[in-house]
Amino acid sequence: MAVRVEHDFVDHDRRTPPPLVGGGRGEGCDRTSAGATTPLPQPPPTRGGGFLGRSLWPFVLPGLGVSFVLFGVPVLAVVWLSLTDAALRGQPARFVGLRNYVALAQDGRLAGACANTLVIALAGAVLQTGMGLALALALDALRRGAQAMLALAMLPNIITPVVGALFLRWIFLARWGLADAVLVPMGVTPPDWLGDPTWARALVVAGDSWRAMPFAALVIYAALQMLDRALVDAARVDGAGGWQVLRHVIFPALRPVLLVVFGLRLMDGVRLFDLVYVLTDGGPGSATETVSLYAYTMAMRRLEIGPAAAVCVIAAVLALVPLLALRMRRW
Amino acid sequence: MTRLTRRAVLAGLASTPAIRARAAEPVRVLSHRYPALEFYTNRMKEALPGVAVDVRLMPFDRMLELSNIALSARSDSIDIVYATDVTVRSYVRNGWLRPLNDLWARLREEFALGDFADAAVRAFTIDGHLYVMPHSVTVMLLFYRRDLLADAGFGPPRSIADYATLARKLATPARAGTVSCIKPVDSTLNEAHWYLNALGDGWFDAAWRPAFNSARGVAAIEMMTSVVASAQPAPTTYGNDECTVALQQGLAAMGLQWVTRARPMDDPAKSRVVGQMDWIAPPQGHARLSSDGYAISAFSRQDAETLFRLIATSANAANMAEAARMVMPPRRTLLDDPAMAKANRFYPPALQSLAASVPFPPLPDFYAVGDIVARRIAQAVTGQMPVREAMDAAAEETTRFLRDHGSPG
Repeated sequence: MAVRVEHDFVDHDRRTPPPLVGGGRGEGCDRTSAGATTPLPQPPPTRGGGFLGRSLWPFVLPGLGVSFVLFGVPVLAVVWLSLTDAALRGQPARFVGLRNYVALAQDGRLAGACANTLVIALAGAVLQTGMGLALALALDALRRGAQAMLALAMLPNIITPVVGALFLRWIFLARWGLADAVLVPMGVTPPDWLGDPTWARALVVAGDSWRAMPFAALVIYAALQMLDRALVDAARVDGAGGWQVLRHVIFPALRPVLLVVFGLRLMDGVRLFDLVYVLTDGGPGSATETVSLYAYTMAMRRLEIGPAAAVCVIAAVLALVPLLALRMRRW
Repeated sequence: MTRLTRRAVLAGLASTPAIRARAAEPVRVLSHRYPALEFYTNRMKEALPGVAVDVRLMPFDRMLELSNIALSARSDSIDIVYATDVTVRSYVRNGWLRPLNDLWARLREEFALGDFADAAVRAFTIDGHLYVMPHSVTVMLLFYRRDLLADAGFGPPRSIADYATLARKLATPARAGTVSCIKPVDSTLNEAHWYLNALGDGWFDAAWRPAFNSARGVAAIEMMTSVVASAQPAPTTYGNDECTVALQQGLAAMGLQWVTRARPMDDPAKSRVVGQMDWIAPPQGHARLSSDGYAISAFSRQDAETLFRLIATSANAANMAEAARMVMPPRRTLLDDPAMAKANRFYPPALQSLAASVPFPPLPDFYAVGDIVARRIAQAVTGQMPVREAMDAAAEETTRFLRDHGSPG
């Protein structure tokens, strides 16, 4: 243990700048300012002291226990419920095996909800990452006032999602919504914002992007601040134009951050609920119904808790796909 | 020195802040919202001195979801809950309501409970137990702008086909021919109920097989689709509140709406069409008849008689006479009073509608089935799916649902 502490102190005292991408202690070596590498002292083996004797497990276990109670138990409960015919009908739940999943496999409405979810999540993630990048670059180019502009841009992100959705609903409500009130006097015939399936989907994506884009911009802007400016200057000295600097210097440096932002927004999009619930309630028909909303409908309108739990498990798997894809990708 | 007796311990406990707070907990009421219900719940707040009443009013679908969540969890967060002739069946099957028979019998004279119309009481009696005190009998009316129809040389429609034609002729870019409220789930069901019962074969046949996809049922929804084409944009986002506002603001020439929304048309503080709106019973009858009222949660920890007195006071003869300008009261003395018709100009058509309207099927899972059918109807009327295909899909899903849940049929 004493050796480990000394190793940490040595590492701190050297204060080496953090690398932009990869490298560091994980490789078992330390970079000096000259770029040479020296081997780091290896931590002593923990064998021989027992499971709890010479390891960090005693520090980790309480946190793991709390996490298990708060997250593991509910997840296991949902998985168990998905294997029963539990319903809010005053009857005890019975184990039905995979029957709920088999029924859902033949459920056209779930297939539609999955398709809607993927379209909305993908379109939202692309739009939010793209617009976030554009806003971050614009803020980065500002000589002064960037922080104030960033704070202003964050406003949609700090509004309660349901309240934001209500704003959007009253803006786009047909006939007397704000959008129609602006367009009609200008002689423009407004589309059927929330009544046309295509427009309704587009508005859900736009609404989610309006709310989440500032978060993307904030993360990308922070990454931009850590960018090694010498690389940009060197590229400019070599005659690179703005687009070339962006494409060949900034994009590659930001790629890991952009992927993380894209993945996070994709996962958030897959579990989208509040905005759709308030703005369109999944309509018109089922045009904007997401998997989360369908699970809610099954549980609270049809009172079918078992099948709703099965939908939740499917939604969780859908949400994990982007995460796994990111984990498997080598940056 | 005080001896430590059991009584002293209990007295000490009772004086602790937690126990005092429990005793002072307000009675919590969860209710649907329309003007008459706002009136009744306000009367509950004033009913008993010293009894605080906390009322939460919300649109029907949201109220239903919240009551399902709270009552299924056996939570005591609701003491008095709003119920209709449909939801009461689901609540009772699940064991969520307290029967009122004992309190009804004991307080019958004090609150003149024998005055309630038998039909209204029957609507809330299941297996001999009464669960809800009726507060209103509600029917739908066809609202129409007398001035606009007169200017165009038309009278009020005599059939649904007439209504569709008139809606098409009265539609302008600035004003819809009619207002259509098909926000899922309840509003869609209300509107479809009229078409399916007046032009089709209703919701189910005698064996509880879907009848809404019969040839006549499909024709009925096709007629509904043609009417929606003359309605305001985005009808699937319009519930009763939005439709009422549209009619009040002169944005539509006609519309099927609840009798409870008739009076606000003449409210100068809210309406631009004061005195211009008139009503008829929906042509060809068979619009929805609904009864509603308040019940006591089986999980309430409040004193049951106190809760009953709150409900009964709000529904006493004096309050119902006052509420009669907003809704039809279920008390016989008021319902049959000719003075009511003189004082409220929507009464004559409402009484005609009452004679010709029909309730939703007495199916405990009707709103669960309704969620399936309403989505398909919305897909049909917004052109996402042909009507025949949508109704067949709804019938197949409904049959599967009823088979899996052991409902009638």
